[in-house]
Amino acid sequence: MRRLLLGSFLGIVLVALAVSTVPFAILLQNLERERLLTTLERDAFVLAGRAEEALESLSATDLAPVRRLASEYREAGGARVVIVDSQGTVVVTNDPEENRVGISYSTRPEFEESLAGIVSTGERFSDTLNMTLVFVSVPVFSGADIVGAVRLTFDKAVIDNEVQRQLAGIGVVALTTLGLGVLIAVVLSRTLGRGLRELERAATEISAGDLSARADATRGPSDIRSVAKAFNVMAERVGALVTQQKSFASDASHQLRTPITALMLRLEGLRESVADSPKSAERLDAIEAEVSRLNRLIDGLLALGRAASGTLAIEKVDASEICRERVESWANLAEEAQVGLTADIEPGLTISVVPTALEQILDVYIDNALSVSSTGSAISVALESDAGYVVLRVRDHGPGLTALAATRAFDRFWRGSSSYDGTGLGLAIVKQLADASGAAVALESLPEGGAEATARFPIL
Amino acid sequence: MVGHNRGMRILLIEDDAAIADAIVDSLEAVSWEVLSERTGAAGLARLDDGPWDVLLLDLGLPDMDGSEVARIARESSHLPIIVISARGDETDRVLALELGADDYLVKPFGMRELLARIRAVHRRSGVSVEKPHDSVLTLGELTIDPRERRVYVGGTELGLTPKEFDVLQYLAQEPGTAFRREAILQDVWDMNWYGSTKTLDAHVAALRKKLGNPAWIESVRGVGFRLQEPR
Repeated sequence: MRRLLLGSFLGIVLVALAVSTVPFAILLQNLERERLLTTLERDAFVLAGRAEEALESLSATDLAPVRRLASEYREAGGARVVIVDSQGTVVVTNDPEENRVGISYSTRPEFEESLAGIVSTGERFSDTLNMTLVFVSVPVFSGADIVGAVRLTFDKAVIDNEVQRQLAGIGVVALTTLGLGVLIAVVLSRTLGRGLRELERAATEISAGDLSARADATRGPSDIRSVAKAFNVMAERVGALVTQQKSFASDASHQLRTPITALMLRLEGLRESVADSPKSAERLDAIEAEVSRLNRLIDGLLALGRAASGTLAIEKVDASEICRERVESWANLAEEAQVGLTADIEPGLTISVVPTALEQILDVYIDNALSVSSTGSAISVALESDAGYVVLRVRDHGPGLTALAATRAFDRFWRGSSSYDGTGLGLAIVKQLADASGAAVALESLPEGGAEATARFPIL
Repeated sequence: MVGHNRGMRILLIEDDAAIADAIVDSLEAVSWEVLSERTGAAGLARLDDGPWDVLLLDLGLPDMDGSEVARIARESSHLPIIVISARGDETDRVLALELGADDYLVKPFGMRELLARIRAVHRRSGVSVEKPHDSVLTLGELTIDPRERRVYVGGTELGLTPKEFDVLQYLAQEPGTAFRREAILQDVWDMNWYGSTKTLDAHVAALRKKLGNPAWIESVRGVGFRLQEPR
């Protein structure tokens, strides 16, 4: 988040700088070139005016002042000057050596153009001087006649240096802007980031189960503060709702237990007084059975609430050992019911579940299987690892179940033919415990008859 | 009912009239003397009217916390205290026992459990200062050593699973008394346990087999189980 803020802010600064600075630099370069060329052109025409008479006469006395002027011009920081006569032969230069005088430049394009009456400007690379030159070449008129041409050349590097000097100034300004931008971005993103991190911390703590966690709504920018305030109000309400709901289910269940205790004590008292009437005793048995069921329902609802609350810690258990132990403890009861109970357990399998989840799931599955098994049939329990899962299967040879029953069997209060304790909560609790343990449960009819209940525990 | 030599005097502190009356009725039915008070303060004021044999104390009182009553009662006397509560969480039990209660009875309970608990607590308080559940119990050929968690029949040690041992020990707190399935499940299994009531039947079936004679543990129809010496 902070990095994003920092990045976006600096990005904007960089784009703004590029958009304003780059065209400005290009413009500057062009302007500088134009300015120099205009100056050169003006100087060239001034020299051309001074050279007009000398070029007409071509006499040494007339040419000498022109040569002096050109030399002074150069000494004052001006350009190199070459003056040719109407034939294109060099008559004046301001080179210290003067070794070009007398050479014909008539074939050079700029002189050709100027001797034809055209002002010629441009750049070219000079092999002799090994540098790029900017030149201006102008014709020298005497009346309507062209009596020669004046060419000024200037090292292009001079322009470039000037441009670079100015660009360097712009660069310093740009860098200062960027530096200030970075500073503001860091301060801003830190302030924003702190507020958001604070919110994140509170949200993480709440989702981890600490409903009392709150964000600090007293610091940071006002927008973040409002979000933090809204977040705290939300956390407050969610916390209150959760507490209310939890305590309602628990309080209601606990409150029911007091009248039930009174009811049970009264029933037992009543039993003493009707001890001699078998019919009454039978009715009392039925009433007590219903009271028992009521108790089971209350316990079931409490268990369901606990498993759903997400407050149960996950622990690592030896699934193979638990399976073996549960099957062993059911063996005698199965034997009494004349139902075979076999186990095929892969050794050394461990899973991570909420406490006693596997035991309870096994018990409900085996109990359900026993309740639908007829004398002489068999139940098989299997535990095996399968592609990252530990899978528990409890298979019976009972009547099986309909597709509807298979999908609804884990619903709260669903009471199919396999409902074993009359509360319709056993499989709902199995589902809840499995969910809390990250496991998946299913119940389905087998094509060869009977049903199979499964639980798939991920190996963490 | 197992015979008892004399009637006991019970002090009951319970705010809910319906359950208090039902408890008084049940205890008077076995000719015990019961005095019932509705508030902690009134109950504590009655402590000196003794001697009492057992104090039955509800934790949810209107005027003060039941555990506070237990603490004050424990300071002034050795009167055995049985806490009655609708909350059976492990933490609640531990807290009550730490505050000096001798036993913890979770609602709902029946008359048999109530009488059995009162007798057991009373017996322990009279016999020794040993910690509860620590004394070796002998019933005919059956010997249960709670400290070592070992069980012998005629001198031969039985290999019981922890839960089988717990069920046997629970039934052995009052041999001859039938305990309800729900009460046994509630006390022996963790409060996070729901499982199935048949879980208990499975353990009892295994216990009977290991004890060598099914008559040790008798099924009482519509109620639960009782431990008794085979005739």
